[in-house]
Amino acid sequence: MNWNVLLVDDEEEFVTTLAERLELRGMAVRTALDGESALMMIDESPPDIVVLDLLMPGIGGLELLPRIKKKYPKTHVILLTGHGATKEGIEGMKHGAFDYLMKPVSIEELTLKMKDAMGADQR
Amino acid sequence: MKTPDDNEVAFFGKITAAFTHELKNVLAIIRESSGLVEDIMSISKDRIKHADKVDTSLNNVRTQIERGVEMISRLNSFAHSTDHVTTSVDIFEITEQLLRLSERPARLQEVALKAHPPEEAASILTSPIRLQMALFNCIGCCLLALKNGKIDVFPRKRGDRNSIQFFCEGNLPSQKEFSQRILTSDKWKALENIVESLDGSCELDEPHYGILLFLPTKSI
Repeated sequence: MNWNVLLVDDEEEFVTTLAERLELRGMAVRTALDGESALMMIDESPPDIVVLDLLMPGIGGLELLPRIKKKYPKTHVILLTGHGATKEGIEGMKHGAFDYLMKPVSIEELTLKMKDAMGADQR
Repeated sequence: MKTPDDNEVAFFGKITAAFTHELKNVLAIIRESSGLVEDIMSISKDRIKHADKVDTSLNNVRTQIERGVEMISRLNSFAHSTDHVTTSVDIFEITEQLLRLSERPARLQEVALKAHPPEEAASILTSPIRLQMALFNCIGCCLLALKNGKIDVFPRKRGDRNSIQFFCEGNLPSQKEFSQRILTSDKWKALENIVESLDGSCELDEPHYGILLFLPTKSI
């Protein structure tokens, strides 16, 4: 699982810890705490996968998603939503997200979804 | 009966929903932090003293996180039920949700709650908050007479109206005593008022130790 991953979430402790766990699984992980920083990091080096929180101050996930997909259509975006935000999740998929997961997501569920996304490239 | 207006209810729901989102973030951080310790343990177990005790503690943390996530999710759904004064709700889903939220008072009397899905899905245009208040009062009325047992709940569509049946089983008084305890209670009076405001009705089913709730398919 040597994929390049960008985690975008305003909860710093959440993203840094999740990043460490994904790194232990062989991924190269960067973190961004807001939409603006995420866009800059993506421009520097487009990742294979972006794990994107929907609810963030400033540019929210649903606003960021089409901008990423327009510029980097090969980058897979997995959305993290709150419980009961199925509507937003589906809206995100309409804008090109690979899928959405409910927070707090388990690492097993997340890595499985990442595998599905990367596997979709092979198909 | 206190009657908060719709804006007050919506305000309460909005604040509660916002806090449940924050609490989910807290649980997510705890989950990842304990998960990281688990990851590190799994790659360096032979060098860690008392590894079995650490494993047990981490298992406890994981179990409690799952429990917390489930509770917060239920509370979040409940808070979001204030989003609309009147909306279409699935009668089984809302019954199931309310039963899960009523587990604590039921557990204190050693009573289990179970909602049985209908053969055919049924929805109702109603006030989700008032409907849940009615269901909560039904449970409360049953708990006035029942200890150490179970309450089975059957939401069903019957022609042009919906029914929700509550049946008690367990340590119960005589049928007469069952009726007396419930019908003379404030909870029953409150239930009658709420159900009336939903254009419905409620009846005591004394022979079967039950309560029957009748609601139109459209109830404001």
